[in-house]
Amino acid sequence: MAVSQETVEQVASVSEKYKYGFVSDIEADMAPLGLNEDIVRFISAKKDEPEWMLEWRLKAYRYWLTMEEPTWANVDYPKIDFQDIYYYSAPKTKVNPKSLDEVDPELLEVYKKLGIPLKEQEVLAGVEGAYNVAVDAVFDSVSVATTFRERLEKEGVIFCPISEAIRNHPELVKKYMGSVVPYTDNYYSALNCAVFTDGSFCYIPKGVRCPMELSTYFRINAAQTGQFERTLIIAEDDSYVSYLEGCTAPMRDENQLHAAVVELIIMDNAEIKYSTVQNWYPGDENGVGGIYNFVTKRAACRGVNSKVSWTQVETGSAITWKYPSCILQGDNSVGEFYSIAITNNLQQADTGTKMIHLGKNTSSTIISKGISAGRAQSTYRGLVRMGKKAENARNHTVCDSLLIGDKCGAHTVPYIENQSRTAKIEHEATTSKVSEEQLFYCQQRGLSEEESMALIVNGFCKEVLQKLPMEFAVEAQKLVGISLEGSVG
Amino acid sequence: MLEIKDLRATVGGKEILKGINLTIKPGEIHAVMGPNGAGKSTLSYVLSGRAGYEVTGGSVLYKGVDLLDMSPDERACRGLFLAFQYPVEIPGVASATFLKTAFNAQRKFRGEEELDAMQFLKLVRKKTTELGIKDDMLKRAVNVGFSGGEKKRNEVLQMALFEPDLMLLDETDSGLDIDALKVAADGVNRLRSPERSALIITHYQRLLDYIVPDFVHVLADGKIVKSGDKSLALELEEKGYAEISAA
Amino acid sequence: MKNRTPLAQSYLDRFETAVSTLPGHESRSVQALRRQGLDTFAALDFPHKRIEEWRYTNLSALTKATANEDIPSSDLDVIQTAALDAPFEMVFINGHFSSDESRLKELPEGITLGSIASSLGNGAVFSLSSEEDRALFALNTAFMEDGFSLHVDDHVQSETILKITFRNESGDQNGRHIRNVINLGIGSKLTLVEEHTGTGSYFSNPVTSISLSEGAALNHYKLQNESHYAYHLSLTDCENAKGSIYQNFTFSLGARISRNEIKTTILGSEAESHLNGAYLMRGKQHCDTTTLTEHKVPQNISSQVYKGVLDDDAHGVFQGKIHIFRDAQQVVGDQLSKALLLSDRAGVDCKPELEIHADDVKCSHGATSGELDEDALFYLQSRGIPEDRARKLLIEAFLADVMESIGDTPVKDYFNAIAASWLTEA
Repeated sequence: MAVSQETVEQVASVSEKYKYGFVSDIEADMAPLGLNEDIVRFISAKKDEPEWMLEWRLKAYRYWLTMEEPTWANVDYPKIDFQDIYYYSAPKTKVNPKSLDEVDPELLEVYKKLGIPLKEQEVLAGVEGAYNVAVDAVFDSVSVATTFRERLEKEGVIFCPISEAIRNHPELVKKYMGSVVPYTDNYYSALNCAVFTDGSFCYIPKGVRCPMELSTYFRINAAQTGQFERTLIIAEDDSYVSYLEGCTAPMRDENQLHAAVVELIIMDNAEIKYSTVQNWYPGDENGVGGIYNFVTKRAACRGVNSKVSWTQVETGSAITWKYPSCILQGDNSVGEFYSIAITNNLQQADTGTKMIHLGKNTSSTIISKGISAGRAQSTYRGLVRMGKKAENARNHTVCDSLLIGDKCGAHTVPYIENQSRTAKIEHEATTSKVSEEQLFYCQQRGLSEEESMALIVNGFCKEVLQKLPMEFAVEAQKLVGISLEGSVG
Repeated sequence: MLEIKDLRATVGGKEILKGINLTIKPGEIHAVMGPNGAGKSTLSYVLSGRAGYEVTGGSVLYKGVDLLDMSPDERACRGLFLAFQYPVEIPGVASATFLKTAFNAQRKFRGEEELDAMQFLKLVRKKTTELGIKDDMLKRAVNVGFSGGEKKRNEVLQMALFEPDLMLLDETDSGLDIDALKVAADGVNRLRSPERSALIITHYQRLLDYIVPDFVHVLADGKIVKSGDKSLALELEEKGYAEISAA
Repeated sequence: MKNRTPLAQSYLDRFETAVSTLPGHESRSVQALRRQGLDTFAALDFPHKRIEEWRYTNLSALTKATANEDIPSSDLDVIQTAALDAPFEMVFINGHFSSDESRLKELPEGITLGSIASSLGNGAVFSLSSEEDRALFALNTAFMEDGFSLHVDDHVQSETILKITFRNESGDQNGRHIRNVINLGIGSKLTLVEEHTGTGSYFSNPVTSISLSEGAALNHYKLQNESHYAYHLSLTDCENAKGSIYQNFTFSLGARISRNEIKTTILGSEAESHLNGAYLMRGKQHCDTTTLTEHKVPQNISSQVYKGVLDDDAHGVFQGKIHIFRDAQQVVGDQLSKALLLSDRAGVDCKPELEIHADDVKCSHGATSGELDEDALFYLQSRGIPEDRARKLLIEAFLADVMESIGDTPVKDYFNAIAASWLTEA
């Protein structure tokens, strides 16, 4: 049977395409299954947290119990059984290693396999191709390594796992954590506040331009676990930092939950550039398995002339539910959102941004590129709000969708609210398909159909890809091609 | 006609004009030349009353009356005409409607009878024929889709129609080919009379080959640093602004 | 029992009495239809802000009180200019057909125009239906009193303008639940102008169902010039068969709170649906335009263009959704919403939505919002045009292209004259 043989081959080839789908056999220290107040206490105790942190977690947990799961997003999935998840899983090795030499070699092997540079010496020794980037590696519920800490400390930059920051910098954490995304914000952020395990903490002091890119690499490894990441970045007056995050997970038949909260605080004349390449396991071509990526990311531009830029390439996850937002409070503050969301097979993505203009002369730019293939559904959902005091505020939104194949869907749901006479809002959106002419032209010049498609789609995404730091951009471009494989023909 | 005394103005809190003194008598044509950023356009906007250009000192008398107190339209009705460097596109407003509305507003201000549509059309046709402007321009929205040359022609047409007493030309030559430049110059020269004055603001002297000024002033860093007759323009062309300003 | 809004409760309390007196009370099928509407409405109550489609329009001013506000009857707010010269006019006063006021003699052959009240009286429910998820539709079904029923025979192409006028006054608290039914036969053509006007405070809830047969063309104009104390919440549904063309232009100036909701469903290829409109609002007026265009089959065209001018504390809402079903290939859908804010207190909310399940389509939407162009204003002033005149010119220019889309010149002139008087009052 030619058909079934072809199907088998196709399945095999698709499975190969997610090259991060391996499982590492690393012994783990797990919390008991399920969720209750004792689990919250368990996590807090594991992290050796002060009392105030535990109390905050419990408050959030109790609040979460009163909430209902949101249903407004254009995504469809079976009800999550929150009692069937492990909320804590850590490799049974030395936590908080003093140096990389103390890190379990097996773990280092995992990161090597993932292509994540944890070797400071390579960079320091000037090895060609070694990225000048500090990495915080989060494995399931704990940070297993953070590189370049000493180098950064010299500049006054704090870059460490958030659990460490809670112990060592309580004054900063107390002041800022929950100040942008309070635990009452939404269902998943409340859950995150109760059970968050690790994530990164970055503090850029006044006047410092962070000497290297900071990055966090999230890896889910253990089965049946949820990952609850918490990241907090503070850029004081006149500072600058570029931060990157990457995410991968093994291929499994089950769905795993990743519910993160990211808070950015930007003071006078400071800037944070936040880039994400999200490549969680998307599930197979029949929609089995994959990560549920339910994320709350928000930046508060508190200072005058402050700037935040979110750039995201979302290719993974079975379901993405994510709206990196900007609260433009300081006069002249700037918010940017550049996004590529690619969905293939049975993936679903409901993603976009919120630009809340409060201060005078604030401006925002939204460029969103959504690509749907297979039987996927992709939704852009965004809010632009001009408050009464947002004099002369500006927004420009471009929101383009590309459809590949006739079984997928692309949706655009912008909310545009203007209360300021002098504000100017421009929104444009288009939906179209890759034209036969374009494909044929490329093929006629010798490219395969898939290569042609990858080329055209990369062109469609170019404006956004250009916003990524160089190392990421190359990776992202490849990812665009890989994510679409199997979508043509 | 125009008497500018120690005029100071700021834009967005920044001082651009730092004490301008200039007197234009009836019948005279003055040229103000200067490098980019000297304050040339600011001068034309302050004289025509644009919002956002704040006068912080000095005075401007126009026909003996305080000009700075008037709204932009009152200045226009009293015979001050600004030919824009970049005429604005106004979608949805037909040129004919615009010209008639402005023309009648000015007549009404002067206590003259307004022209009806027929009378006005006749007058406009006469002017367009004189200036070699195609009639179909009247049907199009104001400046929308006009080429650079067409926009300048439209400014000249308006000048011919309104017959102002004081013409301000703001970089009228920028982006114009020689033919369009001649049309613009011709428009001004037609209106030259012992009662009518003009202030030509320009970076290059080539427009002055066609509209010969009586006086030339050099504007640098918000002040008039040198004045002379038309030969000064040629000197500028030869030596450049830096040398003249420093002199 | 559920915590109902007082107005909803008063409707429920009134129903049994009403059902035995409203038109068609002798007919079981009409009664059954009304009950069905009532049950749906009872379960839903009036729409509220927690319903996604109503997030920007708050009806609590209407629904919190059982009695209408005591407003002296006054027509000061309503803009009146020379009337539209239409050879035929059907007039409804306070929701009831008035044959005295109407001019319907010698309607062109092939056009049948009657009142819904008499149809209901005959027990006819023909194309009337209730609806499961739209409360205002269900409320109308339960309490509909009158309206027009219009039928155009196959291939009848009328060149004249048919005008339907609804005049309302303050009065009883029953509301005006107008139900209209329009049916255009194969290859027929008609121009229809609806005008809604009134004095004092009242609640108008018109529902219009339109069915266009193959190749039919309807130019449907609506002037919403209700009293500024009134509530006008209207629903218009149109179904397009193959090759039919529906053109709707809604011009809204009146009402305290108004909503113009249009749903078009394209069921045949080569059909077109064009929904355009303009709204001019001041004071504390609130105007909501909500459109849903459903493309269920391939090869269609749809467009929506709405322009709004908002002064004082006025608030505008535009929600437009283009929904392209699976396999509805080769569809072109365009949408544009532009709002002009003249005051620091005015505001606008806009939600242009695309839901697309077919790949070979071209869809776009644009939305802008802002103030008058200061450069253009200065240019006009510098030519001697006084500021207020210049502002008016620019507002007219802002509206010009959408007004230009009105295909019937008498209607265009009429609407332009009304816009001009609105601007004069500014």
